[in-house]
Amino acid sequence: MADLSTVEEFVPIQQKELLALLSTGVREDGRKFDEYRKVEIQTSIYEKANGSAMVKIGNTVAVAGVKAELGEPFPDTPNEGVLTVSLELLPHASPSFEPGPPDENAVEMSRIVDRGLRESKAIKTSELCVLPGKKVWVIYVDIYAMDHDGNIVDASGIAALAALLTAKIPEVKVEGEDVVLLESTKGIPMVERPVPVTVAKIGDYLVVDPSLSEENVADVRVTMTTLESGIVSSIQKSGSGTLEEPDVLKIYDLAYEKGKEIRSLLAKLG
Amino acid sequence: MSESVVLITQDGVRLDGRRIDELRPVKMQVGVLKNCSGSAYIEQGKTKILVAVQGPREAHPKHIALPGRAILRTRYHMAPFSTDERKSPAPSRREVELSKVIREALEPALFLEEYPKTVIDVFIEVLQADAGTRSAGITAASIALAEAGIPMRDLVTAVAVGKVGGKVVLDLNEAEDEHGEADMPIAMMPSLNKITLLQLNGRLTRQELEEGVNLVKKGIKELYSLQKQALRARFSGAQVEV
Amino acid sequence: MSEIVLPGDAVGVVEEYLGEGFVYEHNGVLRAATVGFVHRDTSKHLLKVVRSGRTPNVPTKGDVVYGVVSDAKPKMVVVDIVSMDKKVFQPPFTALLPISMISTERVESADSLYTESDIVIAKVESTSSPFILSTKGSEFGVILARCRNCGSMLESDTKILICPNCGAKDRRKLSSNYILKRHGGVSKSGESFGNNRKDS
Repeated sequence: MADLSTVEEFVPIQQKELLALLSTGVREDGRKFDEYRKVEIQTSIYEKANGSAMVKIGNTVAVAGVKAELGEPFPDTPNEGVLTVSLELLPHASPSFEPGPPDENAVEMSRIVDRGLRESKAIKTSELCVLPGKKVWVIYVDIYAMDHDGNIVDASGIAALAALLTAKIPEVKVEGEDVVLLESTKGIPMVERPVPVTVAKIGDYLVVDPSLSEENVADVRVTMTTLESGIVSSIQKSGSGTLEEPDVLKIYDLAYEKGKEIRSLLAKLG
Repeated sequence: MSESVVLITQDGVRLDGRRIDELRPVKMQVGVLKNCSGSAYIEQGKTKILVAVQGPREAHPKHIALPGRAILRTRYHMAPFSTDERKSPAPSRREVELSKVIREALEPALFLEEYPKTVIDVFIEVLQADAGTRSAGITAASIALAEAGIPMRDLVTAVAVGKVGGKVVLDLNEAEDEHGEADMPIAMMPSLNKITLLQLNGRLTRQELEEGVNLVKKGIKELYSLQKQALRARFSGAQVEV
Repeated sequence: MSEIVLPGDAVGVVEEYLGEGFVYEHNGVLRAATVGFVHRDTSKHLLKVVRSGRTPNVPTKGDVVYGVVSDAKPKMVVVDIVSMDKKVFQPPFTALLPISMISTERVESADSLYTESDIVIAKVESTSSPFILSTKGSEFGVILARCRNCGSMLESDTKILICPNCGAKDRRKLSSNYILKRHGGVSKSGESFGNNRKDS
């Protein structure tokens, strides 16, 4: 039957069908509960950006572009570069996305991706300082969700990470108060690989990397961003359902396990 | 920088003298405003928040109304004078996000189906911010909703745990939030033992995550009994309406 | 008197009681769903939680409400419910008064008996949205109307309304509590506008 899960009135019907299926141990696309869709990562797809990446999770597509500019540091961190992350849900991605100012869902997703990168201290911002208190690298990470087939957050977070890992910024020479950009380039100093993994709770079932229809009927989604060391650097519960206490560690274990798999894909990017 | 600030001593005493598992001083009052359906005021340390509930009332614009239940709207907003530097009154992205997660923390507790096609508005105004504003806002909002007579499964109680000076501690204040290693606000329906809000900014190991969830329950238990005290104080003289 | 209970408080178990009123069941435990009092009837195994705090300000079936007509069509009238029991609804609740609910007598067209801006007193018949109102009965109907020509407040003269300004005559489904009487009288019950009324 047609996927009517995007229509609020149909959610209870759709949820009942999905739950019946889940109770037999199967997801509608045949995956196991802890199975991520196929992840494809392409990098350096846009020449004018300092770094770029396209990530596909099944049919979900997100791209990220990194632009680096010299700018002023924040007054309270004069010796550190600046990271700015934004996520836009393109109207291309879903009939439910409209152009214009971001709604609360877009704002939330954008902030989840931002927090994953920022709170993990993935970028060594002190190495982005050029002239203390005056000139630092400002790293803009702009993410486009291009096709929404569920789990935009993970696709966006992985795209942002892949773009940052492969970005090149000019080397600089400081002459007195002047900064000269050189021809040679270097990478952005990345010390962590924070990978967001989203788990949906539908009834009592936890499923990793929810598809669009799973996402639409899920009571709760939880995104946890984990690092290689097992540290979790951001968590967000989203949706109006509830979690049982043991769910927290179950979700952590799933997120860490799947995070490792995705990190091994990123390692191949070089 | 965080290294230079000693947030917690070897003996586990924090800057403001609290132990690691101690809440800040908390004051709550229900029914502080006259012209709304329900209201509450909370002080948690230096954090001060006023909450008003309006409704259930007719949904406007009308197309947002749902046939099967009331809509819950929440607005988390910080007063321009609530922070050290003046905060622009225009809603920030942070406030938009917090309004959403707060709504999703309260919704599971409400029998919204009792009032179809209506809207219930919850206005959370942070008058002074000193960390823990979303959780204190939730704690106060749920008692304001109870005062408004909106049927509920349970109160919702929230508090943050965090990591400060390498230790997992309860109810961060502003200095701890700013210089600490992690902040994890959690909301629960305490009697039903269900989590309705879970967020983390910062870095925690699996073990610290587990410790944090356990510690938060201690704080929630204490706040829950304060919520109940505040509601009882408000309704102690109530007459039975059969 | 039994003690005050709060939302989430365990008040009994399903093996022992059947819950009534503001009670819900979760994992076999009956819990209060509001600030209220518990009444237990051990012989009948009934447990009831009665709300003791505030009641949400929403009209329910049987309530008598005041409204303003926002639109009148041949088959129905749209009424904004603005007040009930001294309470004011902001914004008003939108309600429908279908032609069949206007009067016990036969009505040819709803817009011949109601027009925009009429102030009415009506009874809530149904709250399954939208609210459905009835003005059957002598006390229900228009309590204040304005002239369709000049906008002046109309005065009632037994069954018709007369404009003191332009002399136009008009008809309404009148409430016995119509406020302005011809020859300068003001209905006594008109002073009760907004007062605590309950349908008997």
